[in-house]
Amino acid sequence: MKTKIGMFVAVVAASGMALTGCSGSSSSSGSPKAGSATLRVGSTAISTLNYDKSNAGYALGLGDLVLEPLLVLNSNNSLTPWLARSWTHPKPTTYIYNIRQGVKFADGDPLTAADVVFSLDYYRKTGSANQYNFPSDLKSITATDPNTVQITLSKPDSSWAVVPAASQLGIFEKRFFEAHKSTFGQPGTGVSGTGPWQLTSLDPTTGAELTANPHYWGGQPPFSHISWKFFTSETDEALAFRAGDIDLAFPQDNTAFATTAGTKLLTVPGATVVGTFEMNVLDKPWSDVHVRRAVAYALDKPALINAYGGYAAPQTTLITSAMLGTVGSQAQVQQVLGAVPPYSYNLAKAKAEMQQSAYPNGVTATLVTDSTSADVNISQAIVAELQRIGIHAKLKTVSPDALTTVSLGKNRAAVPSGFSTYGAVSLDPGEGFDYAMGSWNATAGNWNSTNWSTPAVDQIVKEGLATSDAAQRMSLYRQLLIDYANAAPLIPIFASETTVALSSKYTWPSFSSTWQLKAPWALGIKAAG
Amino acid sequence: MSERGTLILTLIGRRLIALVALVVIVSLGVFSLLYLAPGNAVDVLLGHRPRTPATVRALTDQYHLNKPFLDQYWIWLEHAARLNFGSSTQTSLPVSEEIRSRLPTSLFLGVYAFILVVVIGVGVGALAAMRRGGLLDRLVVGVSVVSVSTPSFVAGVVLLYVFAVRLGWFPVFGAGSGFAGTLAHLTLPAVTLAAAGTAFVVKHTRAAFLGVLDQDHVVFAKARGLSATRIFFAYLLRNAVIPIVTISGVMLSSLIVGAVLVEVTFSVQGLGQLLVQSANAKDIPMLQCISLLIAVVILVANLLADIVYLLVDPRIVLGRR
Repeated sequence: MKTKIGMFVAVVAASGMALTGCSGSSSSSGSPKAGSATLRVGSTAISTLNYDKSNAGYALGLGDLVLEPLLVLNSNNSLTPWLARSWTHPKPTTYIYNIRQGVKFADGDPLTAADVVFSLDYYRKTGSANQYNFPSDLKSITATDPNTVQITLSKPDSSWAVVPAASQLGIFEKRFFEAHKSTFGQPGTGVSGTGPWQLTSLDPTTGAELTANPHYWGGQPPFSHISWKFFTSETDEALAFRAGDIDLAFPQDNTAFATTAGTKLLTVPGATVVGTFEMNVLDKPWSDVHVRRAVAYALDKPALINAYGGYAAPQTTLITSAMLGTVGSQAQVQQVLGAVPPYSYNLAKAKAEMQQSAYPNGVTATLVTDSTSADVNISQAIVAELQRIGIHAKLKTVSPDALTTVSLGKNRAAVPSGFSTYGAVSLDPGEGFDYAMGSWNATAGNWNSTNWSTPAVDQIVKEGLATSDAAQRMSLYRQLLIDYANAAPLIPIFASETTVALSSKYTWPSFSSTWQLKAPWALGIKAAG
Repeated sequence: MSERGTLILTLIGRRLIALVALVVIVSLGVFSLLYLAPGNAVDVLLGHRPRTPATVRALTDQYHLNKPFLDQYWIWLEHAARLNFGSSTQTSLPVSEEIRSRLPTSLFLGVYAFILVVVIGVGVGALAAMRRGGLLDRLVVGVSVVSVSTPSFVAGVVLLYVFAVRLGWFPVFGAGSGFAGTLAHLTLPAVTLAAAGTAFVVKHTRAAFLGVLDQDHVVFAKARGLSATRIFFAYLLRNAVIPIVTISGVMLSSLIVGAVLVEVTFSVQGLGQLLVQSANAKDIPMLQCISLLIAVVILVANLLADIVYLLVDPRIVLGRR
């Protein structure tokens, strides 16, 4: 699929690994030192912090500093208490969260279970742009007392465990919302959260200002002030970074940003954004499994990564090792990955597969990509690589909107094949890419662009979410990855690295691919030296 | 009231009537083109996030996308007549507020660039004409060709890198606040925006001055011993500036609403960028309002040009001979 789903990185929820209730610690990770410094951040414009209307607020990291979730991830990517000091899972369909005492909103009002219930119900209401975060079997969210929230599901669903750690489901104050219903989240009103910083001003044409929350439950934040500037293009942002006008930015086009800014980006292995070559199995020649396997052998992944612009590592499975690692141990992860056919670059094997296909003398095909330059570059490289095995592909570029329209269209045979990036909506291996798997997603309005699935795969996807047993889940996902590799409807090419441009004045020791899920992220930034 | 004053008022009255008709035609045209274009606002709004049928239905109902074309247009027109242009589908903020927050920047930038165009363009063009064939004239023509050939985003990035990043003489981004702050922030963008227009005005001014310099009345004024300053302002400029006034209306409106490349280069949030972003996002409420605003700006700018025309040249009685 040609759509770029990198935005999902910003909405990744935590794994369901540590589902046992934990007794809460009373403070955030580390004790942030008091500071008078101002951190200056750059991004594209944010118009509202009402997550019902727009995801830019949390996707770009601003909202994370103001609105906090019930849980976060620790350094091992396990669920850990945050606004909830502990939680229990007494029945397969029930989760109970005990709200941390002494937490206050920026206006001094205490956080209660009613605020949590109100916020989550707001995010999941019909028509909300955030509704997709909640499993369809969520039955109710209730406050059983002022400090306890109960989640009831209509049937067991392990994907719920990670939902309270989603950065896009930050808890806001009910009273504040009711007093500002029509302008909630907008410039001039903002939001009221429990985060280490409060929103002082928001102007979509210039930027936002945040000041330290005097009532923050985790102690004094490291910066008294965060000045957030909005840029219309990454070139401007990079030039501002170069001129020393901003200290931190999260680039989209890493190569261009690093070059223009004259800086070396801080990079870490990615966990949730995978670039793939996908083939619509309802369309020829991709309906032939030997053609698909030939493609798998023919793609030189390091070369394709170079064509893409770098900042990525070769990938052999759609579900990443980091995602599997939230369910099983590293040894178990290696065992699972070891069982999956790797399809190492081998032109001889590729040609042999073509000989077994219905097109031993070659075939023509059309690939479609969106007009993003990195996607076009890698697509052209893919065309050249397919040429070597007799697949004469013509590349067509369309606007991202046009690509989305045809990819979600009713005519599933018309869904284009080509390069696409997939972004996981969760670190959970079952939830992460489940929007693109299963026969029910090979329908109009949904994202299984290969249109491939089998009854066995459908069953695995369902079973994987219905159980919390780690060993059972690892076994299921092992089989899922083997089935995907054998059928090869999509060929994983790379996993994108996670990057940040950070001024030499600061260090960020805890920066990782899940930076948005590990507490309000700016708490982890320290002065260098 | 003088005849000229009556003429001006009549001109304004006729143009206001034309404005109303133009606004309706433009709004219908924009609405039709958006309706025919592929894709829809819900797909753009939800982007690549997973979507539930309930979300798609709710958004479709909210933006009336399931209604027939004329019904959608009528709903919009009813609200627009009450100056309620709805909310942006991209940002959820009221359209009028989004435009209001950007209009001052676009106006400042456009007028600043226009002043540069007129002062430098007319001044340099006149100088080149009076030094016809000389080194200055050839230099001016050469620089004009380079200016008009250089894309604004290229010129902008070069100016930004040299004067803002390397030398630090100007801010790197944004529109600033307060008059002095805005002036400092918008100088490089205004220079970039004015470059091509200045070259154009230089060329036309030079040609206009060359046409007037050899006229009998100028020769006679020189023979009578009038000062060079008086000859320049009273005889040369007043006659040569008429074609400049003609194009100034179009130029002013394009500088105000058409500066998208410069706005992107210098990270200035103006109307040009808002227009392009709204078109990409099929943000119908925003596009409709900006289109109407553009129509108003063009009409007002051309009206001002015609009024200046009347004031500059007493021979012109517009529509009457």
